[in-house]
Amino acid sequence: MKGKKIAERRGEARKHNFGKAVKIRTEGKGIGVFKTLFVGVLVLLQLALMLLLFLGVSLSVQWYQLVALILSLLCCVHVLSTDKTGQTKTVWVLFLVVFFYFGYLFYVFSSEDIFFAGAKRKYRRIFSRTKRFTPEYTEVKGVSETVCGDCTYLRNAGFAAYTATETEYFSSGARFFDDVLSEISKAEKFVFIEFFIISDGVLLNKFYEILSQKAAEGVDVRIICDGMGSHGTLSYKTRKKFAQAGLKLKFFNRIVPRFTFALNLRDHRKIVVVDGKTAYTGGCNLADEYVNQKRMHGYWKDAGLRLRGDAVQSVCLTFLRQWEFVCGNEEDYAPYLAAQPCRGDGVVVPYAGGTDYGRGVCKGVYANVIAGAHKKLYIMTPYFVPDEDTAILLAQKAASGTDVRIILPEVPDKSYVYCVTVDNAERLLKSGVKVYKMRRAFVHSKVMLSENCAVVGSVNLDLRSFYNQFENAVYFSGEKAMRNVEEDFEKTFSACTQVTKENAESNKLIQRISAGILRIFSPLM
Amino acid sequence: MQKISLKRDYNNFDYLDATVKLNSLEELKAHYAALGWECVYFDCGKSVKKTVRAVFRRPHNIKNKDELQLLQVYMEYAWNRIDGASLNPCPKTVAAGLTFGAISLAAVIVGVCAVLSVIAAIPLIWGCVLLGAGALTAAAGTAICVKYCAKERAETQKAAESAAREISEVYYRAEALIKDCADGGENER
Repeated sequence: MKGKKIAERRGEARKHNFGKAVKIRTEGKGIGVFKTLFVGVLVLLQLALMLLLFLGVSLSVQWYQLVALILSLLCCVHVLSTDKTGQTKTVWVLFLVVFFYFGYLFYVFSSEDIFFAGAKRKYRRIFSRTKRFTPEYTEVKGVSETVCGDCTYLRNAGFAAYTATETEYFSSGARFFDDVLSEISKAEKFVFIEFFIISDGVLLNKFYEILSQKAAEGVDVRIICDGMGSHGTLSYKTRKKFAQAGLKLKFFNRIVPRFTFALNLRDHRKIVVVDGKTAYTGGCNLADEYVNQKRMHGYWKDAGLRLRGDAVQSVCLTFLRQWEFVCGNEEDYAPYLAAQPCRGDGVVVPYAGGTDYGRGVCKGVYANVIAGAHKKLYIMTPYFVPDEDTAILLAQKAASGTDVRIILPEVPDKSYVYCVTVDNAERLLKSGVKVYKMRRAFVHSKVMLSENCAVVGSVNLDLRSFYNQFENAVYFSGEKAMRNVEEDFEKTFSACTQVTKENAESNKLIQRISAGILRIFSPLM
Repeated sequence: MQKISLKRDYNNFDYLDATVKLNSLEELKAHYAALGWECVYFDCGKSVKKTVRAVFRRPHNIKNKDELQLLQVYMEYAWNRIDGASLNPCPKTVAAGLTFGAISLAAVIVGVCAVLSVIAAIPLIWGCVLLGAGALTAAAGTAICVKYCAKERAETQKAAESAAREISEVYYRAEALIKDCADGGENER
């Protein structure tokens, strides 16, 4: 029977006349490419003009070079004394020494305390005003020491742990958004949506149909999207349509055709809150490629999480604070934050990172999960550009006998980041870390699973997510949800090719050279 | 790509717009059908390069959707690999040949101009050297291309056969998944 099947298959293979195959194209829009290029060119022109003017003036002053060198060296000393990562320090010192002429100016003006000072003051005011809405901390009982320790870390970072929350894991963007749409259709009071990318297309049209109907019924619909992520993906026609339907849409840190260091600060969060009863987060943005409606980079693998219960108020608070930041309107959050406990399973801790909640939380949670793993540690991430601490921790875990596995995409979306991602992952092979690439797919999920807990959210395993961007995720230890996460990993492993020392990309000289050069820019990736 | 105007019910169906070669349309329709897609429209008019635009649709809540979607990507990759193999069986050899050809042509042209004293800046001796170098480059390029062309053709053929096997595997796996849909109730929820 088996032999007959194989023969049939060989017959099928011969039937395919190799000279008459076909190219298949599915939809792919490039809206906004021109718009983005236009802004990019304008910004570069401004930068070039500023540099030329500066050089013109400084060259005429004889003692300037010496002063510039001294100032750049002083900045180098300052860089080395900060708590930035080693890679960031190296890049800055290199930049300051090579471009000493104007490097110190870049260093000083790129500091968050200068270019984002106004925004930081605003966040401090918002947090001070809304401190009373921060949920009470409750003692976590009946969990392992590791989970207890992780909850303590998050409590100290300002995030309460909840035990009356039900979690549901979605192993694809399609399943995730089907559930989101179903929940939104039952909304009665408010719908809060926050995504990095909101893009015109079939999925957004579905959202629009339901949301406009809800807005007409009196539901408060608020949407935040990132100024860069959604730049060029959301047409003026759509924004006008949303406004006319009563849907409040705001952009975070809008892209302007003006050079500013603030361009680098992005809102990467993915949040949906419905009536304060249900919250969603994950890796998916609101665009067709996340549900494989549009073909980009092969099969798009993503993940999401639904919360029902008292933890929803924490996610809601994160959104409301960001909404107050983008709108400037103060309001009473109490009507939106009524806790609605549910039959829970394990501990659930939603958390967020960024300039508002403080840097380092997202990295800290990942570090804790890695450190607490003794039997297994599974990671799915589209980008793998960790700082050296995280990389060393992973290597040590694998060398100590923990089954450490990392799933990366086989099809990249950004080749320069992918080059460094693959190189970083392959460096861990010798420590026993197993690296997998999902065939013909772009893995966009940001999921971490150990025997104790799991984390699902928007946080990539890269320096941008750790230190630059506004992120959010959920730490949970519920058995059912963790089992679903594990099943997703097992299924995904079977669709992957394992990277070995023999087939590693870093065996190629060009890959090693490219990765070596691009690594210099990894703090920006 | 311009969307074909067709009343689309996105609440109940997913749609796929594709451009396929006319001579493979029936075969592709069968393969997409194995993945649960039904061809609802195709337009043979205004066909450029003997291609036809087709629209497929599938129930939105089809069971095993994620697995079928992944298989579809495998199938499309395999088809495109076969197409690429048939259009250009030895891309690296062609690229190398073009490079050698361009270099030798440039050297010969400059050499001839120098020999004929068209370019006064280049002495006669250098013109002869360039002519010789151009001829040598052309000869070396030809030898390299001839040597590696056959090898590359064989590799491409092997890749195309592997792609064809992949298509067959996808077909059988998709059939099993669709049968599972039919047995266990077609749609989820």
